[in-house]
Formats: sequence, structure tokens, C-alpha cells
Amino acid sequence: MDFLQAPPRGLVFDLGDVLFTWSANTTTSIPAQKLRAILSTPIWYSYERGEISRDVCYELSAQQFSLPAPEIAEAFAQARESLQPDHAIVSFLRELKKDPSIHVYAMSNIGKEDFEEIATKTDWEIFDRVFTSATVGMRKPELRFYCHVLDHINLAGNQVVFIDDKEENVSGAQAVGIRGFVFGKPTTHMLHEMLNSPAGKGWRYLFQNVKQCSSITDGGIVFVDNFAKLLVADILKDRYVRNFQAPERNAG
Amino acid sequence: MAYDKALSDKPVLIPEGIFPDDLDTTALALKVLQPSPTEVTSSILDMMAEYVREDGGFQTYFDRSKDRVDPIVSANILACFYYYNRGHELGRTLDYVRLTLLNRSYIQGTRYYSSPDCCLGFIGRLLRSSSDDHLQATLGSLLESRVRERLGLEGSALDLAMRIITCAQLGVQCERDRRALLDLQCDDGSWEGGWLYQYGRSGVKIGNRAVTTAMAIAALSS
Repeated sequence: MDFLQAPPRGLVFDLGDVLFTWSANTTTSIPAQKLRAILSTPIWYSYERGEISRDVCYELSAQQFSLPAPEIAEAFAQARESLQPDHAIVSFLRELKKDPSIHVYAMSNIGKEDFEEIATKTDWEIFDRVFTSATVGMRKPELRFYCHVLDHINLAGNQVVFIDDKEENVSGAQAVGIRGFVFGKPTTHMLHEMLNSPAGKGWRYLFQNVKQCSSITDGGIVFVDNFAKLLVADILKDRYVRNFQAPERNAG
Repeated sequence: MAYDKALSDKPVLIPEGIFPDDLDTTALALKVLQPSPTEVTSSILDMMAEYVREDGGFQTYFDRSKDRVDPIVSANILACFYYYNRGHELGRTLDYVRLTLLNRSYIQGTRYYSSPDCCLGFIGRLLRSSSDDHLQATLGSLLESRVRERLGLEGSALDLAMRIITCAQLGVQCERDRRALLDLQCDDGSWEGGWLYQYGRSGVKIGNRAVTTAMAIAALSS
């Protein structure tokens, strides 16, 4: 009774290892572990922020890891080939798309060229908007990236649920007040509970209809009722302006 | 005529001091909107306090020519005073609410609130407005025994939701009522309105789907 948590108005998903699975095992001479290590260097981060091109990134990585650049390029080409969308989540999101009161976003650390390639593999329709590190010039877990996203989707942190496979990225989200969760097996079930439990469905009805909040007499007369509006706010301990505002829907 | 709760869509409470003509809505607005500076709240509470009668009951309207008193309206006003730590000023009103519970004078509804479950629900809300020891000691166990009498009775979604909320805050199990409430949820996620309040003289009943849905959410989250 003391704690009434509304379902999120916005879901923000990581792409790699959440919406997509992929394999670092390639037919090249580069072992999976090393491939992942290449992804975790300042060079790669610079590529993700859009500061250098992919070719330059491969060149610099080749120097750092003493590998031939074409071998690195081939390994990552194979890794991209292995990308598979997680069908359970995609169909969950597609279902959610029918509800105009809840919006879905992607927020990804991904270089420009990589994003352009995977763009052909994805049903981007499920997202109201995609935020990539390369476009905004920031990457998770930089707090300013989360703030940038919140500003653009016009929601407060506690109205947003963020899902990412990396603990550090989730911590970053939590640091700006977002409800962050590390992706795992229970994730879909948890989101389903938040949104489709009886209380969750009730909230979603209110998200869409509370603006009118008209009362009706037993004679069928409909009228605007301040008492009822105030009572709803009192019961749910929420200010209308904050929790019942419609988020902006922006394309791409 | 008691149409004051329906003051079109204007702000109910603005710094210039415009407020609805009934104390029930004013008390609710004060608690929800929390106007600043606090002097605004104090002066409105002071003004409301002028409408309490000898027996502790409150006039429902800012109009002394209309003697309309309702124990649930009085409980709602008292809740606002307790919320702002001024409940102790209204000892007689607390007693008035206690007698209402003691005598079950809500059992056929009151002048403005026709459902006994809603009446008990608003008294429960009064108890939630403050942790004040005297308030809790005066109404807590009495309300608990009264809400127990309602367990398993038929009712609208609003009745069930308000009953469950009251039970939950007092630690009373009410699984059957919870299941009944779940069964009443509509496909769109809402719950059918049910009668929230009524106009005194005409007896016209008022329902609101959003209120019932909000109550049901609170009930199921409790």
C-alpha cells in the first residue's frame, strides 16, 4: 500500500547480447576470447563513439594486438553473420507495440558501419527510436548518454526500464534514476508481470484514459469531476503531469 | 444543489484562493496539490475549521445556510487536518467518526456516500493520513472489527477494492474478495465504475471508472 509502482512508460533495450545473440567463434586464427578483448579497448570505444571509422579501428586494433588487419576484419564479418534476433523478446515487443501508452527504444554501443550492416537484419518497426553511440558521440556507461536518451524520450528516470547484459551499463542507468535490470532468462517474464498483471493492465488503462476521467450519473450524464481526478491522484500517489503525460513519439 | 464537485475543468485550487464550494473536495485538493507557500494551506485549513459544529460534524459546504453534515465528508476533512499535523485540533470530529463506526451508522450509506464499503474505505484513508497514536488508538481496532463484518459480501468493484485496501492496511486477510475483484476486471484493464458518491437531495448517484480502476490497482498492489 505504501509503495505503488506504475509500469514503465518507456522500455530501453540494449541490442547486442539482448535483442541479438552472436558468436565470437570464427574460422579465423583469432580465438573468441581475443575477439572479445578487441571489443574492450579505448580504440574500439572510439569507433563506437563515431570518432574513427571501422577501417581505422581495425588498423589500430591490429597494431595493438599484433594481428593482421584483414584477419580482424574477417573475424568481425563472421561475428556479424552469426547475429540472431531473440525471437521471444522481439515478439513480446511487437505485442507491446499495440499499446500507444508504452514506447520501446534501443540504446546501443555500436559503431556506424556495424549499425548500418545489422540494420538490414532487424525489424526496426518495434522501436519508437534507436539511439546509437556512434550517432550521439557517447557510449554507455557514460551518464550523459542516459541523460541524452531521457531528454529525447521526454520521460523521467523512474518511468523507464532499461535492460542490458552488462552490469556496468545497468549501474549507469540506475545512477540517473532509471529502473535498470541485467538481462537474463527471467527478463521477459518480469516485463510481462510489470505490464500484463491485473494491476499492470489497470495502470495501462489509466495511462490511456485518465485524461478524461469523466464521471457518470446513474441517469447517464457524463461530466468532468474534479473530486474524482483528485481522488485518483491521491490513491496512486502520483501527480498527473508526471505519470500520466504521454511521451513523445519520434520516428527513427 | 450539490454540483460543486464538478467545477468544470478549471484548477480547483489556485494561489489567488479560488476553491470549490464544498469542503470535501477542498480537503482532498489541499492534500493532493499541496499548495505553496504553506501559509496558503494554513489559511484554508483555518477557514475550514470554522465550519465544524458542536458535535464535531463538518458542514459540507462553505455556506452556513446549508446545514449538510456527513460523517464521511467529516472523516475526509479530518484526514486533511491530520495530514498537515493539525488533527489534534479536531478531537470532537474524531469522536464523531468513532461513533459512526461504533453505531454502524454507515451501514445503509451516509448522505453523500451510499456504500458501506466506501464509507469504511474513507475512514481507512483517514487512518493512513497520519501515524498519530491517538488517531490509531481511537479508530484502528474498531475499524478492523467493522471491516471484518464486510468480508465476502457482494459488492461492486469499487466496494471490493476499497474493502481490500482497508483490510490490507489493518492486516486482515481477504483472499475471497481479492478473487472477486480480479474476476470483475474488464478486457481493457479497467474496472466498471460502481457508485462512488451521491447528491444529497436528489439521490443522483455518481460513478467513475478511473477512480474504481485506481482503487483496484491499489487493492491488488497491497
